[in-house]
Amino acid sequence: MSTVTPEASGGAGGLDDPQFVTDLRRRMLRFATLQLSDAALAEDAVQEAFVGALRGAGNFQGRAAYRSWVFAILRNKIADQLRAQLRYSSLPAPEAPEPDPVAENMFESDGHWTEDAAPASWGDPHAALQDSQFWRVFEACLDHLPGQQARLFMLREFVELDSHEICSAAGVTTSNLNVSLHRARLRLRSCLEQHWFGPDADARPSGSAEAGK
Amino acid sequence: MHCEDATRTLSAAQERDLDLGERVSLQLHLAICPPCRDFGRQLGFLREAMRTYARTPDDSGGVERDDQSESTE
Repeated sequence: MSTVTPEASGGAGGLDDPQFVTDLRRRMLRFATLQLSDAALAEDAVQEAFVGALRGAGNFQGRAAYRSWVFAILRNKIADQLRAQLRYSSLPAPEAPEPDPVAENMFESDGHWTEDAAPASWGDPHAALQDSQFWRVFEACLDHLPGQQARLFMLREFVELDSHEICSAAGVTTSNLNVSLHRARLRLRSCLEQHWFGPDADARPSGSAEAGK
Repeated sequence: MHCEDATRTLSAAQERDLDLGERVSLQLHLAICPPCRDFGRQLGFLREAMRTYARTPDDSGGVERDDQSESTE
């Protein structure tokens, strides 16, 4: 690999802005570290993603396109790395899901929702996808998932590996994977309702709350 | 089927096709349980949001400004 740095490419995709590059790199590194559980491998994957993206940098109009591209490359690097780990098998022993009182306490002992945890209607939530504030909340909610749940959920929904690949790469059984994904989804939707979609949501900017309804 | 089972089944439906028995039990429960119906819709939205997030991680271009101390190395 050459010694080219993101800053060296000039105007393509906002790479001449150190703040943009720093923010993007930090987000990528956080994601890669979570997935690979190895700081050095994560660093390499991020580096390779930047270098890979630079090769096509001239084609990008603007930051959003560049960011999507570089993250797409990173996802592929991580998926490759996880498959390689699978092949060269330094597999961890299968882990049982940690107990998760938060998710378990969403239900009464008879299996019904507790009053506090029962989902409310979100109406049509799609407007949120256009709102940068929403993405901050979304990311904060992802960050609050416990480690193993977060890893498995991100492998499934962000890297988009299928269940079979995840079980092999992460050394979990299908049933443990399902338990973790179920809990992660319970937590994530609860967090989003609490901070964005619910009637008492605390993060949504006032004024936009009921707009368009 | 009670609510916890229904949410487990709805989550499983994101991973694989449900068998006939599961589908029938789930539909019978959903018919009488608005919170579980909302849960099911929200799972669909979660997946859509994750796909959007994966492809455009942060539309705002900015992250919290209190982290600027990190060096650019």
